[in-house]
Amino acid sequence: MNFNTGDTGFMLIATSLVMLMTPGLAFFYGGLVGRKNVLAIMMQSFFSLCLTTVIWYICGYSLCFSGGEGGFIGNFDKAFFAGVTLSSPSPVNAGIPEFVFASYQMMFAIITPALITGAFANRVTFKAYTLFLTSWLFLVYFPFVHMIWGNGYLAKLGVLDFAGGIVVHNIAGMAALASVIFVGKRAIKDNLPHSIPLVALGTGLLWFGWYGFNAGSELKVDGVTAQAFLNTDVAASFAGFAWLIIEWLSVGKPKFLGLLTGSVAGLATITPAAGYVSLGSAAVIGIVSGVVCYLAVMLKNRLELDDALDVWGVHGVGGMIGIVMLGILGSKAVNPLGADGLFYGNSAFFMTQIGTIVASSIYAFGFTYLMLMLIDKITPVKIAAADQQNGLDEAIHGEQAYEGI
Amino acid sequence: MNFNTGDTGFMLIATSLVMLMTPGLAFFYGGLVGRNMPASHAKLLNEPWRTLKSHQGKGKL
Repeated sequence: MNFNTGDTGFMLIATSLVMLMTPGLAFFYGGLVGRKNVLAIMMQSFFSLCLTTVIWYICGYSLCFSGGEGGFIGNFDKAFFAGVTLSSPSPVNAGIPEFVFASYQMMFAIITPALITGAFANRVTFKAYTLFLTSWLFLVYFPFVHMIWGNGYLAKLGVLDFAGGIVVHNIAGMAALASVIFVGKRAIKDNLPHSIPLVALGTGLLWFGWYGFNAGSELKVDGVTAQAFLNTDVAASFAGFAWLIIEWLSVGKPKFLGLLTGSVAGLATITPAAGYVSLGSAAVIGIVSGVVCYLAVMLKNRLELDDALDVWGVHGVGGMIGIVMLGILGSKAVNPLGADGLFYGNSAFFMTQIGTIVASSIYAFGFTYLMLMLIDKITPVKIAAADQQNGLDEAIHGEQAYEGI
Repeated sequence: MNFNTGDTGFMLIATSLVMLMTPGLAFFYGGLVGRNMPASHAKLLNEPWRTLKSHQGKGKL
């Protein structure tokens, strides 16, 4: 089998970039929590690197991408990568090996559950998190990957999601909301970020990795790849800028944290649309993302929901806006494999996108909540108030991020 | 239009690498200045303490 070296090389590097997003996320979240809870939340992301890879190897890849045409989930035919050889071609682009495709998709599976951890920061036991990570992958993540990217039910309906507006951000954000409602508020009020430079490091790595996440999602290299790349950058910049301005106008100072959070919101929002919209549309999506995600975070504060690191406001709402905006601004002139949106006179595609985002939000919220109720019957999910006071690093892991605290 | 996939892919990765230089520069400069400077973050953390001190002062008067 002669694979395309350009495509294959690019996809392997893109896979590495997406891998780097998970440590990036760990730094982003680690900086946002208090000094005594840094390791606990960073470890949750790094743990996903290991456990999700193990699950992916055992049967995750198979359940997402083997069989199940038009269905809700795949089968076990490729469990332990049975039948996948060096010369097996990838789905979508036969010019790259299936191993590359499976690795690339694996990095998405790793970061998605890790995104949720920011919501229930500082109050969930490690045992419960292990069960949560495993069951969430099987009951929420794998079905959505299969339904949208694995030729499943939603793909047949014509739903488009370039790099994971539903599959990654919306379902993770809605799961975050469900988990916040389930575990309630933190017992301690140490909601000051202990290190904004760490948050900046995390944002830099996320932004860098996001090029692989979005530009790689076409699984080959051509003009659309470059379009997705630049759209990603432009949307992130417009969103960060919009968030900075709106926060500056309302609190009186230009906040670094606002710039960083806004950029991540823009990256999450452009994800589903990156390879399907024009550069101008990406700019519009960025501005809408910065403003709406900011308002969503304000709403969450008013409702007194303790979504510690704003996973719902940034990823849940960002993913939702991205899917809806794709339904409006999608353009076949940009990508013939895409669809024209409402703006170009195609209301059917718009309605499909809206229906799907409503259904996926409800599904992810409901299943996550039920799952946490069941896990709570097996092992306590919430950490005792006394342990929360001492900080999770010491209480759960017996380790400290910084000496003498 | 058929672009060269090797060249295009390489240039996209090179673009990503150059992007990473800007956060890198932020860390380079952020580390070189005094503690109070990065993002005026340390200053903000000092704010409650300063307020507390000024209240104590008023108490004594």
